[in-house]
Amino acid sequence: MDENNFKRLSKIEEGRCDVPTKIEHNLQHSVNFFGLVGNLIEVFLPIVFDVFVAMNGGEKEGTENTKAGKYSPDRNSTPFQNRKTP
Amino acid sequence: MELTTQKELTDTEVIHLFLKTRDSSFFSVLYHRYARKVFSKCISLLEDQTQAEDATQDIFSKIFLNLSKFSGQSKFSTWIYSITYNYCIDLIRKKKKSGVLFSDEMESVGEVADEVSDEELLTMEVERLKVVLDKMPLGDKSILLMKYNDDMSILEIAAVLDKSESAIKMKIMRAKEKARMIYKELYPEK
Repeated sequence: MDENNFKRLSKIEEGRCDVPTKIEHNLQHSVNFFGLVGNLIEVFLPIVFDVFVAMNGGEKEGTENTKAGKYSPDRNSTPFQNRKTP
Repeated sequence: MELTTQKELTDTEVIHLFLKTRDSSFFSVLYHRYARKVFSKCISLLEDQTQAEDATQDIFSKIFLNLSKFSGQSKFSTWIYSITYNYCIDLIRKKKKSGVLFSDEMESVGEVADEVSDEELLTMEVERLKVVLDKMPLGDKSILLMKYNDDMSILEIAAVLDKSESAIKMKIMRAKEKARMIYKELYPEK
């Protein structure tokens, strides 16, 4: 790309200025903070939602099924199903 | 991933990896690529070191929070510069509530006698160009920098300033005219 006088001026000005390191430090803190908030939301929001549902008289998704043992992972198998009888 | 490998990646690859892994070292790569350019633009537009520092930090925070919205339709650099110009222009608008940012917003604006050619602008000596740009209203200066320094299209400039394409063409014409006028005042021998 052609380097016109605007680009030359911009390069000169960039060369003259040093970015203070405190900007990067502050930004690093912000990035960590945002990451933490994101993780907290990811972990706790579903729990808060469940609490809210429970407070309004609902039940947690899957509670009924679990109670009835409907989706019990081993509902179709007996403890010794795969054991060969002697 | 090793630092040397990270440095060889394109902007789009770094963004993709950052969004996938949320590893802040990828964001750090983007910061080191563009911090100097963004900071330099902020100093040039805001003309204040402290404000430029705060602005640079805010701009990178915005970039971090909106990185997932970067569609890749334009170059990443163009996207970053759009955010930078937008931020600085907004900041100055808030500060100078009654101030004029563009010469075509002035009451005394007259008809443009003849359109200033790009060549006339692009043949100014660098030091003189700096003096001329520093004497221009901030909006005019920004619009010329977006067009001739950052190679932004009319459409991209229109998006930054939230104006129509025809309005931007008019603003560019006025800004060029203003630059020529200032140049002739300062350097009448030419």
